[in-house]
Amino acid sequence: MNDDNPFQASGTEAVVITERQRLLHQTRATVWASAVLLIVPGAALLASGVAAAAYGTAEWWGFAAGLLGLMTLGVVTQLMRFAVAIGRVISDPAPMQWARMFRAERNAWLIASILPAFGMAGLAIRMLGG
Amino acid sequence: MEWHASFAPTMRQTAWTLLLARLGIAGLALFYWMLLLFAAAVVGGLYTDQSVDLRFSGFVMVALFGVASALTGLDWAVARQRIALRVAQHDPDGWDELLRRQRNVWRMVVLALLSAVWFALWLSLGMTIA
Repeated sequence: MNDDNPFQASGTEAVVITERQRLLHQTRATVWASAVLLIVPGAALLASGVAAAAYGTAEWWGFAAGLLGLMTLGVVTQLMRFAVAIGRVISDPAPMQWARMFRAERNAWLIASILPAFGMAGLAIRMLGG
Repeated sequence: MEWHASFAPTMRQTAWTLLLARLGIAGLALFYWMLLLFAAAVVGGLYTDQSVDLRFSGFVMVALFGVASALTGLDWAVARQRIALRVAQHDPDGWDELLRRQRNVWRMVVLALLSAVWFALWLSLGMTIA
């Protein structure tokens, strides 16, 4: 195993490297699929909030729906950046690309963890009769 | 080991990711355990005005995905620091474990996020129509 690069190997280690690249391909496919699938509810939530405001029927939940839609689209953006960063590691496993990938993952975690916290607050308000 | 010297910032990024992941997972766990408790309360008859209908099945689906995501994420967060250390110590198997767990945790997070946002969208549309 070449310590300097987790993708560079020779002989029998090639199988290990293939497995490593396969794992990265699977992660990238998962992240891309989730980003694409989240666009629909994100856009719908945003449109719901905008429509509620436009027709003058905006209550707290209309505002919340719009905000949740914006946050969902933010998650989508970060997921896409993460997927692109994974693709760059696959094609060029340089240290800088690995660093970018982990940084993109950190950002995706940051915004993805805000989303359920926001949902938790909204649900708590609903359950308490807000 | 010039490559590892340049990889040090990435390891620090990993530490930040770990911290954020723990916070995110704590939020996820709180959110989804609350949903599970609510579902249990519906079954137990505490909310007599809530019939066991489509809404209940939605709660259970979101809660199950969420708890599974939180458990997978917890497993990943606990292991990641140890794996990062192994990678820094030039353990070739550390990379495979790191990438495998990264793939698994994102799969579960994606399922949880999708189910949560779709359910929020469904509730939002229901309130809009009502």
